[in-house]
Amino acid sequence: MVIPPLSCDFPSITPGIAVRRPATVSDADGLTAVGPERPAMTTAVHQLDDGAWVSVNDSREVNVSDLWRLARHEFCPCQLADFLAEGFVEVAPDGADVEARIAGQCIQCGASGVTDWLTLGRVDPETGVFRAVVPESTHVPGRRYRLAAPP
Amino acid sequence: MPSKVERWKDETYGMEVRDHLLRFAEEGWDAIPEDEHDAWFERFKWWGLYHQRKGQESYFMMRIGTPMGRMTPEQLRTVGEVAEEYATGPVENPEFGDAYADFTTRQSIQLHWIKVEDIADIWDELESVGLSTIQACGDSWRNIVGSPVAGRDADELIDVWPIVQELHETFKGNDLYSNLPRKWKVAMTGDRRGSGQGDINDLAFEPAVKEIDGEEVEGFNVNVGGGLARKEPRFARDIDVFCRPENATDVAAGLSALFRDYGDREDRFNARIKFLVDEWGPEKVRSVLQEEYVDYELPTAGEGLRSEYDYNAGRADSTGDYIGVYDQQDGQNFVGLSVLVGRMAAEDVIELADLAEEYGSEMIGLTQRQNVIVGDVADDDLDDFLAEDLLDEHSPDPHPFMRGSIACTGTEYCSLSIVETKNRMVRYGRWLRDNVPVPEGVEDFHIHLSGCTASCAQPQIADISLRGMKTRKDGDAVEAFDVGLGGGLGENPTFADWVKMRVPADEVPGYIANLLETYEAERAGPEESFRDFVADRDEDELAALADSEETSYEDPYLGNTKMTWYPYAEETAMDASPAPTDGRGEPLPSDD
Repeated sequence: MVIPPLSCDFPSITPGIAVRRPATVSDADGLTAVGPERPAMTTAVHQLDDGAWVSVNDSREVNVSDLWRLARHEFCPCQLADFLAEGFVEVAPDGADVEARIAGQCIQCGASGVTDWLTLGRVDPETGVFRAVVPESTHVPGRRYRLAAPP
Repeated sequence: MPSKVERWKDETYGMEVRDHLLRFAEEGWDAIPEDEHDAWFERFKWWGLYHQRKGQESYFMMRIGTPMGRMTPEQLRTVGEVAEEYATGPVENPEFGDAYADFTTRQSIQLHWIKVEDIADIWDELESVGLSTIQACGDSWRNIVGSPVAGRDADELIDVWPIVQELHETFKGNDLYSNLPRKWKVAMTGDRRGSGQGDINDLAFEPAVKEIDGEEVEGFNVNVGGGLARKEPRFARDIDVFCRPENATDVAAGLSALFRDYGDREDRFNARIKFLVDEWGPEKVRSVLQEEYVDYELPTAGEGLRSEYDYNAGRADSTGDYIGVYDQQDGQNFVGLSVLVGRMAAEDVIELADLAEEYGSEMIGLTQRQNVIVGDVADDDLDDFLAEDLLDEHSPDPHPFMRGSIACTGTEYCSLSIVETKNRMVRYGRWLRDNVPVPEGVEDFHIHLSGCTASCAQPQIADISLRGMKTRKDGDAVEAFDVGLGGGLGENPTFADWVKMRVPADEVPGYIANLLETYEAERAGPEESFRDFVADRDEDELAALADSEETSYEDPYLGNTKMTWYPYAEETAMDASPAPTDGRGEPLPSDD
């Protein structure tokens, strides 16, 4: 099973190629995520129109302009960042999850930059339907990294 | 590895997309394979079609490129007729009605709510009068900008209209330049006003003179790598090249081929030529152009006219636009009319075309300040023309706050925007007009409102820059703006200083009122322009100039307009959207 490398821009899985997430997946940064075996599924994810939105299987699913609550993050000094998504910089599937790094700023402290990987939602492996997370609930960026090195 | 968009473009792009679009027009929206939507919508841009935002699926923005914003009255009338017949959506806009045309900051025209099923008919109508949507969007030569009154303006060095026509004909539909790494924006200026705004374009031809072999030659200095988007604003850099008018096409071909061959096709965020100029420096751009792309020795730069520029320059001694009555070289007049935020009702578009024709005008011009010019009005007809009813709405002598207001498309249709823009700017303009004294001597005051960092309203080059943002007010998320001051072009181009961040949208008019009160009270005198007043102050002083506050201004769009399917609908929730619809506008069955 070959997993396409995750590049810096528009990483995607070509439609028509079934991808099975193995127990261990390596991404382009050399970080390792560990997860359970999942059933085969096909997912195409893109960020388009200058990062305005994320497409999952050719359906527009996640937009800029939402506010995301970030906890246990290194984006800014705020304990709970109030992060305005202004543009999707990178997007990638991680098993059934769709994850992205987002450019924007914390509207509490004004810090701006790019987040670590955030889970945008999950593709139901049976139906292919994407279920987005609720941005206003609390999210922990970089979970893949932490899973790779559990305490 | 090439980006996904590059791979889609490699499969199909450019002229050949037209046949696919005509097929989809014939077969209908459903004929576009669902699992190929992203690829096709990316390709459609090349033919001027941009899929509208989430909640408006199956509807497109259509952009018509008009070189230097120049049209005949017949062409303008056709635009109005197409807007009236095809650019109507499910819900009216409360400020602008059900059919309108948008005049953009790059002198193009945008129509909304276009259905794919209508594209063949629309193209037939547009092309029958010589208009086209070719390369209006996408990764290629975009609409060439410049003064629409070139050849008429009494205040110019070179008539660039024949050169721009040659560039347009050479680089539209030309396979050699049809697939560039990113958009390619070109400005050509021949006047003494700087009205091409070349500084913010990928390639700028600026008027200049140079002594060559003992003879004074009129031509252009060539600057490369300007642009405003993504919080990475750059002014075009001087590559020390003088270009004779007869060499403009060769130099433009060389530079766009250089961009084609050396631009970044792996990272679209790094693809614009401004980043290549950052990386190489202007000297290397010049040497590669000389060695690989042109077959004559490039002269070094000549003497420019920059000190004379007044277009959007924030000068106290001159207005910075084309509003009003101006002399033409032939003794007639051109009349610049204000179009608030660049949006004109379709019936007004048609009426303006009829009026222009009635008065013998052969030229309508769209300006980069989203306004419109009627050329060729004879002295004897001028008073009658100025007394026409339509000019009450689109005035040659508007209030300074209405005159200087620019706004991008915003969340009404655009995927990138964070906030509502055009209707809000209209409301800001009215409130400012009715409530804020105009500082003595100020005839035009430039407020540019952009919904996001893409900067389509050119927010960094205005007296007051507003860039879409969010904040919390009483715990609730509300639309807001970062506020910048003192930007402009002219002799010394300057980007705005961002002095107030995340001001709630309903407190912006109060901020502007307080700011102008301070300006009036503290400036050296009426001869000190607002831009000079800002330039004389440091960051802390600018931040302390004024506070934001609530006033009698009411903002109906304070909530998250991006969460709606259309901000002005009665039922705004996404699931209330009728989209996608068929060719008659009837909702199609949902897959859910």
